[in-house]
Amino acid sequence: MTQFLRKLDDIDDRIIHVIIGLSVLLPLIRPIQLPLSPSDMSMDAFEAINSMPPGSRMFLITEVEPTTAAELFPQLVAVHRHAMSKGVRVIYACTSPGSPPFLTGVVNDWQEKYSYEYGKDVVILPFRAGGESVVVQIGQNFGGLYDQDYRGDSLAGMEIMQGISDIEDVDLVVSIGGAELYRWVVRHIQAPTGLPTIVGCTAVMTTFVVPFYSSGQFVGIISGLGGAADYEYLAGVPGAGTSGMDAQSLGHMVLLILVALGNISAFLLKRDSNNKGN
Amino acid sequence: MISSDFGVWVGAFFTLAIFSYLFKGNIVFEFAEHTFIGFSAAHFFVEGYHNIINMAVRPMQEGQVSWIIPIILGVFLFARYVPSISWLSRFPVAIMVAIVSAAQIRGTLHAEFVSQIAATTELNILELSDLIFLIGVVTVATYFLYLKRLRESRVLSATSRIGRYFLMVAFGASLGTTVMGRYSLLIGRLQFLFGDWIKLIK
Repeated sequence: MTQFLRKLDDIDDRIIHVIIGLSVLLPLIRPIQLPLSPSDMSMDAFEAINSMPPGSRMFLITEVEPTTAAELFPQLVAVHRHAMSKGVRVIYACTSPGSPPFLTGVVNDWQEKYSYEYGKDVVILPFRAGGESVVVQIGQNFGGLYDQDYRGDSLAGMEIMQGISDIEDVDLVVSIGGAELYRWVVRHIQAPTGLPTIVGCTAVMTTFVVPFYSSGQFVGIISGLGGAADYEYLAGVPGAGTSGMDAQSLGHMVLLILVALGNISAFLLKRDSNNKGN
Repeated sequence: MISSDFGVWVGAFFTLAIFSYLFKGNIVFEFAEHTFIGFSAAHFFVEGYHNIINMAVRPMQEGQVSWIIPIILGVFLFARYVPSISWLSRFPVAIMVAIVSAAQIRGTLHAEFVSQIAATTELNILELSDLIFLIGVVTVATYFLYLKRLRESRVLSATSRIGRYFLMVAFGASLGTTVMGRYSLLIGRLQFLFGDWIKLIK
């Protein structure tokens, strides 16, 4: 065993790649249904939307793109399905040029199942270039920034936009983004208006977002694929998040074992070299 | 059992081409890499072109002449390629920096500074998690005191060391979530390869 551990130091990287690949692939093909226990952050996010009365309006701003879609798209789908099943109306906006195809995809894919109507229950606002300055405008001059939807149709005639001239006219704000979007939202929408805000973020960003949840500025966080799985579990609608969690768990388990073995190997080799030195 | 969609096949080819780098660098990987860079550059060029047309040129044609200002400022950015008038490019850069700074400072002060401090003052130190949080905030703050005389005092050197441990825990948590994010990307690709392309995942 000791000899084996010593040899691990020279193991070919490609063997590790194959082990990691298989540990992720096998549970995807044959799910083992590991138990899920949703985090408090996810439960709070779910509860914030679940407690909204039918007909209330949610403003969801996103920057989901191909690079972040593996984590953010399942979140977007889970929130969309939950809102539509509850009769909550959603106004979608985006700060990234790659997002509109994802938004139209979500809205079109679930229209038949939940029987919602574009313009009445859901609307997609067009992409606006400018990053943070767009979010500043949303916070200060919502009506001036958007007068048409992404297809160029006037918002004035749409039922979902009736009575909305300001961001404060919506009931909840959701931000689903991979980088700085949550900061822009807390700076220019949540802080000035005090609107209840949920953030969906990539797992990498979670440690940066949590302080805003602890301080009460965000009412909930959906973190990475795990957060999406939590949300799907709570909403009772299994999807891409849930199906990926077995692979996440098993992959992490294998990674932890490899890290432990690597450290033991390094420790043994260091001890050997010290003994030789003496 | 296997997709008949041409787009899915193209996606699968490029995914496998990128993954092939895990075994060793090869010409298929390089082809995929250069194709990706080329497509990205083309995508952003077209996106930028449409933004200028839709958001500035078209409104200007409809009578909103003020849009000429951002167009001129945009053109000024290219002045740096002509040495005799390169100073013109400083104007748009200065305006962009000023606007971003103003937007950030205004929002940051309240949202990320005052609110965070206010929330910290509301901690209940009788609760263990809040107490640890408070110790973390104070000790990490002392870690960033750069006055030599202060740092050399026994109390502050001890607290800054504790603060360093808190920072290491935070960085560890950040790295952990980074690994989780990378796994999500791998899962996404495998779901595509074995779900959309070879239909092994139900």
